[in-house]
Amino acid sequence: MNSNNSIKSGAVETALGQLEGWLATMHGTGGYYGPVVGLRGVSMAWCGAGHDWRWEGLLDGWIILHRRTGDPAYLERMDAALQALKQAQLANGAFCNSYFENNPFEGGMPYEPAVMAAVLRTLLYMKETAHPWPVGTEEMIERFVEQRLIKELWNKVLRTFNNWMQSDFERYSPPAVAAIVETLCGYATLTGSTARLAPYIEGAANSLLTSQLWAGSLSGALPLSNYEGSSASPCLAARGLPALALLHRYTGEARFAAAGDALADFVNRCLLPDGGITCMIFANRPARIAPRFVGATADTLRSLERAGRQDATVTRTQLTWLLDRQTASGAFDTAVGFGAGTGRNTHPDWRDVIPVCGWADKIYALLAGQAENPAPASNSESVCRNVRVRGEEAAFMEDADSMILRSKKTEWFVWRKRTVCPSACRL
Amino acid sequence: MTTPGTSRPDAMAGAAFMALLERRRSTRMFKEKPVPNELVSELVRAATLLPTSCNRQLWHFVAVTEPDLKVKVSRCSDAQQSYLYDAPVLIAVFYDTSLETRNPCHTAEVTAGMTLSALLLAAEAHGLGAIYLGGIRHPAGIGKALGVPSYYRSFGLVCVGWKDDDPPAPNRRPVEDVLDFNTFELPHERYHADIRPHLWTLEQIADFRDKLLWYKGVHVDGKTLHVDADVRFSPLFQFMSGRLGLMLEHHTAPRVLDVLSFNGDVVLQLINAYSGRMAELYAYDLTPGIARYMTERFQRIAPPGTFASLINADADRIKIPLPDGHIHVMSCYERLEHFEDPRPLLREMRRVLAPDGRLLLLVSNRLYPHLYRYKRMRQKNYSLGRNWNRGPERKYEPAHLERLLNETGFRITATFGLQPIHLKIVALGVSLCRRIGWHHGADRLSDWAAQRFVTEGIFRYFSSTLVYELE
Repeated sequence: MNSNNSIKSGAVETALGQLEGWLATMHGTGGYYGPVVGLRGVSMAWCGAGHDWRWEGLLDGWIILHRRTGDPAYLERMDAALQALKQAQLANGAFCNSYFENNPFEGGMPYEPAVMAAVLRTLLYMKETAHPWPVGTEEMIERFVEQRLIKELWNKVLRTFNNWMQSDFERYSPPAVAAIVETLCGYATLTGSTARLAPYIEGAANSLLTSQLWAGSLSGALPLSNYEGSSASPCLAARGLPALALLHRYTGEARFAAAGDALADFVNRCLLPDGGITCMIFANRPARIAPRFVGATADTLRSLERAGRQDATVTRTQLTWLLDRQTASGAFDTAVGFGAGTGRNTHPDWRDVIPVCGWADKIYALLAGQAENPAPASNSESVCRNVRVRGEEAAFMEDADSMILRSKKTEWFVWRKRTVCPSACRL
Repeated sequence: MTTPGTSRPDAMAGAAFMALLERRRSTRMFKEKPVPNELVSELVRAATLLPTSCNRQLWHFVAVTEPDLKVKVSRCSDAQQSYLYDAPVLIAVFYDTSLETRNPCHTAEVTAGMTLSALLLAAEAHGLGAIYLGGIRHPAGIGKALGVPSYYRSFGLVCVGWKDDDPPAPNRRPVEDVLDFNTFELPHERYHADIRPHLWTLEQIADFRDKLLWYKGVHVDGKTLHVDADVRFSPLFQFMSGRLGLMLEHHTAPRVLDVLSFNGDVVLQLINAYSGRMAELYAYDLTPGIARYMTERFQRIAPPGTFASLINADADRIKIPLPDGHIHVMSCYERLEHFEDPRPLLREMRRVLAPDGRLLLLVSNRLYPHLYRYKRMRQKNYSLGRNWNRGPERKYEPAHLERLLNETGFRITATFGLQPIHLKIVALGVSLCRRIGWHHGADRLSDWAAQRFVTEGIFRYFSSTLVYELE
């Protein structure tokens, strides 16, 4: 725990309680509901229980909070999460509705392995606390690792993991491979099958190093794809840090430490001094700062923390910026600066203010790590804000039961919380 | 064909040669068994027996067997075909084109083509399987990867190995369609018979779909071949999911039907998003092959007892094997395109749809300037299109389609357009901005376009895809 000098005493704890209250309004049968505004697009027409990476931060947060408070409610939530994931698994080991901005599709990358890595951390924690695992959890992970990762996605030629089964099998995504490395390392630890999994871990680890960029503004970055060496998302690249740290810990090889150092340098360069993280960095053109994703910033800080590279001063500045993005409902804005430069910036873009569970969980985990005495969940309050939708002024209203985006002329988005489809969606 | 030393045609040899031609298929699955170098030499020897202009024989062949070199060849040429690695041998074909420049008969290309066909036939004759990789994105990269001088032009790769599959026979146009004696009779239609839906019988469509499904490598009868890119990850399918979800909400235990499911993209999406909310889910298509695939793929992942695969109940006409008014929610994604006259299918869909049932219909719009359409077939309104693997595509004009829908008893409750025409202009603007280095402008335009993928205004009639909600 660092000393949050510039943050009001108890502010983190209050924010965590309010966020927990908001998350409760999004929780329904089978998981956490809600629309998605992501790095690569939006999914507004389908708002059902997603099994993308929204479970990752929640599971990590509950582990931290249970460790700190011993409250059995957190263990119950972990049990329920594992059951929900088990129910959502398909025969090939993938999970339905796991593609975040492409929901409701399955096979989301890096979302699925990110969640599985969190599930494995949860199981290891349960083992540590002698809490029994929910029935079928081991089979779920085994199916994901054996059927989905090894049988379907392992590329025996490249000796790494593809994102999906398709013709373009020479492409892989280093951030997804990093999440897979974490999953495989966790699975090997849990099952003791290190020798069998070693070739896969080694292959994936090598492909991570091969794809790392070493020149110009992208020096140290992990690109989005091994074929695209000209751009990188700092947030997704940062997700390689824990994997590289794990590899260094397991193998003791200096090359992983060097790669981790270079990546950490890149990520720190991308954190903005007044808060937030650069959206995209390019090799041959200026970086795209906006939109600054709030949850991505929290996720990056978490990645730095998990890799043991947390800088207290940076975290303090960023945490202040993050807390300023929380609204009365307890939710956090998704981003700052969508549609930036369009001229009429009197109000934020609608995509900035739509709260998303798959980002809120990252903030939840970060705040859980920072809160000394977690406050109980508080009730989510109603909010009403002026926004822009396609250049038109509109109002975004949210309460415990609904999210509505409406202008004088058009009902853009009307969603009753915990239902699968919005009753109106023109976005 | 003549036997050496005589001028008398050898009927047996001729029959054997024809049988060889008929037997040859493109092999996409290979056994993990090496091909001896002597056999590879024999194949190339066959290729060198083919005629060449002025007997120049400027061809050159490189057999690639080293896995690392295969990786290099694949990366440099952007081949992206998995069987390139599975085949024990790749034969790269080159021809020195420096002496053939400005040759009006393109003798270098013709000669290389003949050598390729000789390689394929010789492989078949020796019990091997082979495939010519026609989808390579940068053929020149093959030469670069292998260190071949630039005046040797690359004519692609032939993958050779021991067969591990048995593909079905593809359709062939009858000889009388393509052969005239002493004259040239301009065909009534300029394009290949296979792409004219009004010439297709139901049996032909079924046959085409069945074989294409097999070729595209979807899992049937325990075999999975080439797996193609997944088209479902698109705003179009996201939009479809949302609208189907709203339709499902009107019923407590809806029975759902996807019409002409083919590779099952919509079915998978329905199971993924609305599993447990549907009382019954049916995938209907024309052939037993597709039905077997559907059953194998979806019966395991749909909730027990909810999924069933249906086959057309009549060989000569469209007949969905369901009672009248059985279905509450129906989807039909770009399938009317296969039919010159879609009314029999629409009538069947109306018959099985309950009085309070709803249909989500997505159709390609003829009023949208699909550039590929103009490139490939000028003024015609049907083609194999980009998605040739689906079968023939007939585009519909909104007014014509709406008339057909009214005629077959449907009432339109909502209309949308996906990817309206102005996004095409914006896309050109984005590309221009990128070219001149104004990336900020390009980003802004892309953002503008991304928010306008779905339209309900007048531009819906000029969108790539028309969406109708019907009851």
